Amino acid sequence: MRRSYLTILALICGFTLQAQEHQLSKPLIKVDGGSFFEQKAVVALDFRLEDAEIRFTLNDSEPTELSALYEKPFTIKKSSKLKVKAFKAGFLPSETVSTELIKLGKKIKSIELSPDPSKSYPGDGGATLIDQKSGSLNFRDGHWIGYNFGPLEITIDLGERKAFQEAILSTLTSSGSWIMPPRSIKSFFSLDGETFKEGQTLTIIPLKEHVSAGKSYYKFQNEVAKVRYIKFVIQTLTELPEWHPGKGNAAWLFLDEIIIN
Amino acid sequence: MNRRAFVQKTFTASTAIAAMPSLLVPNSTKELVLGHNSHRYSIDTNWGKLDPTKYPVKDCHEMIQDSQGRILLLTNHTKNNVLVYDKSGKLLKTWGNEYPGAHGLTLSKENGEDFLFISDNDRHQVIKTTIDGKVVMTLDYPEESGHYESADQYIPTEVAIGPNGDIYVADGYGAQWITQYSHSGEFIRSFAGRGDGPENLQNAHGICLDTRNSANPTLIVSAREQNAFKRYSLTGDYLETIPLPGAYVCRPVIHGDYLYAAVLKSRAYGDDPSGFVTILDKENKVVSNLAGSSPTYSGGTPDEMYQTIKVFIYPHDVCIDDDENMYVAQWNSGHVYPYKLARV
Repeated sequence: MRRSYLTILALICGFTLQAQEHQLSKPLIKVDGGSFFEQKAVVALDFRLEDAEIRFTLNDSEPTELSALYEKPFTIKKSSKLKVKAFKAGFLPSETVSTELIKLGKKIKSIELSPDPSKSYPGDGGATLIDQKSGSLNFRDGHWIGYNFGPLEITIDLGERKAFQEAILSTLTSSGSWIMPPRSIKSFFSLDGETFKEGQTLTIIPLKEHVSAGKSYYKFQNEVAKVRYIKFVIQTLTELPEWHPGKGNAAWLFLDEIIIN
Repeated sequence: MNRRAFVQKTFTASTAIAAMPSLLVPNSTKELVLGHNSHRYSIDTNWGKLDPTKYPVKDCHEMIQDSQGRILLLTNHTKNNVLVYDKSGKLLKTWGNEYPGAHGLTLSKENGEDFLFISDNDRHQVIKTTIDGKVVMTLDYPEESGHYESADQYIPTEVAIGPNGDIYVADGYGAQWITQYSHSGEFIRSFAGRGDGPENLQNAHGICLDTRNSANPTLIVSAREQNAFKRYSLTGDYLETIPLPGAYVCRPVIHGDYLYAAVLKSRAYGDDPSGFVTILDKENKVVSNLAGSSPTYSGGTPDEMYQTIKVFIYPHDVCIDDDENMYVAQWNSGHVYPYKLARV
């Protein structure tokens, strides 16, 4: 009797599992002021579907049905990787939505760009990259500068010799709009602005297919104790790849901020 | 089994069920109910399916129900621009192979006879036909308006017919003018146009006559890029904006006291496939979103709307039949045939 009951239950489960065909869409992440914050950020999550649950993590792990349940807006005070997923009984869970919230560090005194950005997306030149304002996924929102040529050299002056742990280049990736990751970024450090010591180089794995629009952060660890000047040399993607509808044309690079922690 | 054993077993069973709720909610397409409040629907994704080698579709752009109760689908496949179904999904006939940019389909009932207006993006023309496809009038770009130098600046998306038979054409992929013609096709005026003013339009993708206030019919036009509908008088005076944050609304469809619209995609998801269907009541308040977020308001404005369940890809139009059931045609969605949704 007990066995037959279990069999029936198993059959029901098997049947309903097989019949699961609808996936939930992605929940929305809304952060006051965008991806960067000075002291704290208030994070609101939104997914208005009856009986659906939003689960989230702040430690870069994949959210599961056992992760923290979102109930109301919450405050974060340190840089965090937020991952969010929607669940509802009888539906396939949503894709995971990820965002990185970055606490702003030292104010950058001045910045130089060489060459200047494209006339189509000039932003406010170098000032755009140190205004501590986050660009949205809309690359025309005025918080971005764009390049469809390269290489690009960015030199920043911290104003005095300082110790820092990490420099972050904040960029946009939106393959549908021809905005692609650069090929590589080389970093250099200097005390006097004359003699630069080569630091880390990031070589970026090219995209193999279209991805949804999202921000990408490229991070550099400091390898010397104190520096005043930091230089980045960015090799842009000069040709869109074979799989891309715009293949052969120059890709765009969009930057909205440089953060020094 | 004695009663005690039975009770014990029941207890075990209910515990097991409670522990596995996600496995016990049936979720085949047939069981799925979409929408909110008064407007909830089950969905049949097989309704309009045909053999694509015989009756191919590209984009399924718009649908109407004619006076005989038949459901007409307009597609930009020139092997059969119009597919005529009965309400059960049986194909009755097809016609049309000269509308490569077939986009808008509007029914006009004139003294008991059905006529169609086809807005063709590629031909830069609006074509009036009988219900069986015989061409009776062709409207070229409105040179008289002074807004156009050549036909290619004019990409009409949709037509509405006024109470006196006047023809209103929305140039939703062109210069965004709404051009009003007399019943016989004489130019009267153009209004709206591209711009940032409240009276202007960005992506005037659809237009309809709003007859819900029978004493004072008006025009409702989509401003799809602006996630809104805009209302105008029959002489082109701007009256109001109906904001629908987050929703790329295609064309407005009036049926009874409600306005129905396919939402091509959700702003929150960029260009990803993320459409749903929205329904507004007589006061233009959102009452139901099919596969979309629960309609909630902050102040007088809807909270951002977005897709919640991946049922639709890029819905492009809805048609409501005389049984209150709905048909959904989709753009760029892998050549899917229309779905039918039954009101529950």
